[in-house]
Amino acid sequence: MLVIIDSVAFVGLDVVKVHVEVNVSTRGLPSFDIVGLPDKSVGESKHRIKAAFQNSKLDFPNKRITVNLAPADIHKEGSFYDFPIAAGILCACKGLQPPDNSLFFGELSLNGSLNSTRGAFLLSLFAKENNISCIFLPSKNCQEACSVADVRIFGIDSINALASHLEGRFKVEPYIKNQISVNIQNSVQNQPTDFKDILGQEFAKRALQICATGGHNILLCGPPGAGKSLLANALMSIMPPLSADESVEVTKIYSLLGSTAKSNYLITDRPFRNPHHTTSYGGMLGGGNRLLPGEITLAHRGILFLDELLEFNKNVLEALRTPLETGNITLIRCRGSITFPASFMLVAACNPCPCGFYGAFNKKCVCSLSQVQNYQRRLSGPLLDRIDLYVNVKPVEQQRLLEFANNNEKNSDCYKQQVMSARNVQEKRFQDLSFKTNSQMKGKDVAQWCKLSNSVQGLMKMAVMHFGLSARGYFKVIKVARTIADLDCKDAILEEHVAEALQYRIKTLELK
Amino acid sequence: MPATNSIEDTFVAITDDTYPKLLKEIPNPPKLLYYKGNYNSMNFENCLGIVGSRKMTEYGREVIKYVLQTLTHRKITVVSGFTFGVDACVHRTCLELDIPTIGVFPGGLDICPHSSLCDVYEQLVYSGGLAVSEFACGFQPRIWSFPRRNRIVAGLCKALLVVEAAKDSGSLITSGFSRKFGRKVFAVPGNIFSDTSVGCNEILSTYAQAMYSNITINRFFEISGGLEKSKDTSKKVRDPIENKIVKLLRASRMPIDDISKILEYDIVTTSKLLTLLTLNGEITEEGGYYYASNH
Repeated sequence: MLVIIDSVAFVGLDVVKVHVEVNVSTRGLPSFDIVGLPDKSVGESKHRIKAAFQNSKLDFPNKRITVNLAPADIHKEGSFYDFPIAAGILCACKGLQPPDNSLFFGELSLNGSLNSTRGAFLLSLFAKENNISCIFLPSKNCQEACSVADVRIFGIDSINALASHLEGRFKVEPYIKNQISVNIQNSVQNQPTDFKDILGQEFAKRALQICATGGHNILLCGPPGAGKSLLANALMSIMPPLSADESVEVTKIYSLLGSTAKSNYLITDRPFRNPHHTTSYGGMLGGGNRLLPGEITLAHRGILFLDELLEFNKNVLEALRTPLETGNITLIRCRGSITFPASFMLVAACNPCPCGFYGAFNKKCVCSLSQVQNYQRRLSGPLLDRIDLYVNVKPVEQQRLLEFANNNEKNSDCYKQQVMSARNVQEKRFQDLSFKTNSQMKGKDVAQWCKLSNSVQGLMKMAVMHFGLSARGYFKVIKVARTIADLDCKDAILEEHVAEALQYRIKTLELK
Repeated sequence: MPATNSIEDTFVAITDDTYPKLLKEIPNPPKLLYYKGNYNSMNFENCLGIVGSRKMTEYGREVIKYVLQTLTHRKITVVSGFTFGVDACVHRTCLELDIPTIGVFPGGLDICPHSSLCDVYEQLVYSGGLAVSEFACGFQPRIWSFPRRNRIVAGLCKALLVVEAAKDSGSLITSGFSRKFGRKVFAVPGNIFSDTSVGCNEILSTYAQAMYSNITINRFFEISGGLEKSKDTSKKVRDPIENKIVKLLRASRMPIDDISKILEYDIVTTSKLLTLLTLNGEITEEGGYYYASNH
């Protein structure tokens, strides 16, 4: 008897429908084969299914079973084919009709219960887009899948529960979204540092506010212990929350990796990724045997914080150039090519020299000049060109620390309010365009939205002469000035905005 | 090390009339002085050596500009060691201000000692400057050739000015030679906590004369008074707030956060003011610190 059950396969972030064809034949020697380009993890299904049947007091048919995963030319991997195959066998040997227009998805445990599996969110999203009415999946994945409306979700605990559901003995009710638990998730997330807990550093804080507003990339440079990492961490506290669309994009990525398993809900906070500087090429960009997303994709719509920027492998850093420009990464490997989104905000921190104290007056730098030069040269011009703001972070003097013990620093909410209102201005401005923030403006957009008055142009001309700004540098300053004007709630870019923006231009040490 | 002279080499021998007179006076003058560029024996009459640290700060840069501005249109040639840092800055500024300048190389004249100096090298050799060395073309600089080079810098000059020097700096070797040869040594006093001024302050306490104003050097070269400064900057009426910032920075260098804290302006205003002041050339910035420029 032939039974066809529908399931899916993941190709990058795309989902493809897969027909799981189960044929139970009375002819031939008893056997159990899975065909259709299965991965090792799919091949192991056989053993899990057999044991699960036995432990659930179900008869595993002693017949010739052939399972085909069609289309047979797509590589299938993952443990979630256990459930559709088991369902197919169940239907075939009990003569049951599998439910129409439904997807099956889940991993079996040897005792017959279902384990949670990665990718449930992608599955329900796919079901919605393709008008599939029901999803059968492990009850542990229900929360994650139910973030998408209009799809009936059946949470199944065990293979026995499915049998009784299909036989009509005990009907499983569709899962209903639990509103309360969604709110819990936000508070459970680890809290970023609040700006009021950072003493001084007004300049750096202001720069971070500009970044959060316009989505600009920033480089923090300073001696060890100045507070660069702390500042970067605090940036999260003033980032605007994800919009509904962005939230879906981010949840898709994390669902694919199974990282939503713990929270099980739609992700609403912007991701903050802080990969260590030993991160490999594949780890940063994505790839590997299964072509999985890397750190830059995990930081999509969020922040990629590269601490100790100059300690990163040069190849890894240089590879960031294209994603920084295009907002996505196409991995071309022998297994195929996959495009992952990678639209992130780069926050980088570095020391000025190997010992860390070059230019610091209170501590002696023990590096030779060529060491300093070589160290700084690791940051290539093209990469530096993609960084909009540069801040020299100075350590707060100990005396000051004591002085400000009873501090009255502004807290993050003050900053965030301004950020949010300036973001709204930008959203309105770019409503007909594909992007949302000032940092993503291209040449013609700059010409349209950043008109400069004569006096401002005069100032820019002076700046070009005095600081030797490049063409790209020129546009960067204008874009940053646009963001500052937005924060100031002004339509026109004024002299003061440009003057402030010039403070954040790249100032590497002139070593000639 | 090629023992023979290549065709490219041009040199003056110690027996030539055009050989620098002051250099002849030192204990072991080079027998041959190789050169590239515009050789004019008149340029060796009044030489001032300016040397200093490789790791230079904005302070050094300001001092060099300040000193050299007063030397334009005098018959003074500025000699330096053609290394990066202070030396390169000296040559660059001289070429900008059209002051005759001589670079003394630690190796052959066909080798630019450092890739970052290529532009100065081109200018020095091909646009009016002069490069000299006691080593023939093809000789790679060695550790020991630097002090020998320093001996020639000291030997060529009537007076030597040490701009910035760390403890045990190579510049102190040069000033030591100058002293031995009986030449005048000036040093620029600096912050006692600054690494790059320790050497200067040290020789100031022993044999060097303090270079505390542009008059010091000019007087030595029998030039009365300093050069007239361009009037427009001093006459410009500054905003009272801007005045406060400049005054503050004259007292000591400061990062932006401190300026905003002390003057109690918010960071946005401070940023704006500092940019405008920088563009007007009233202050300069290096490594996160702001300095008042000298006017």
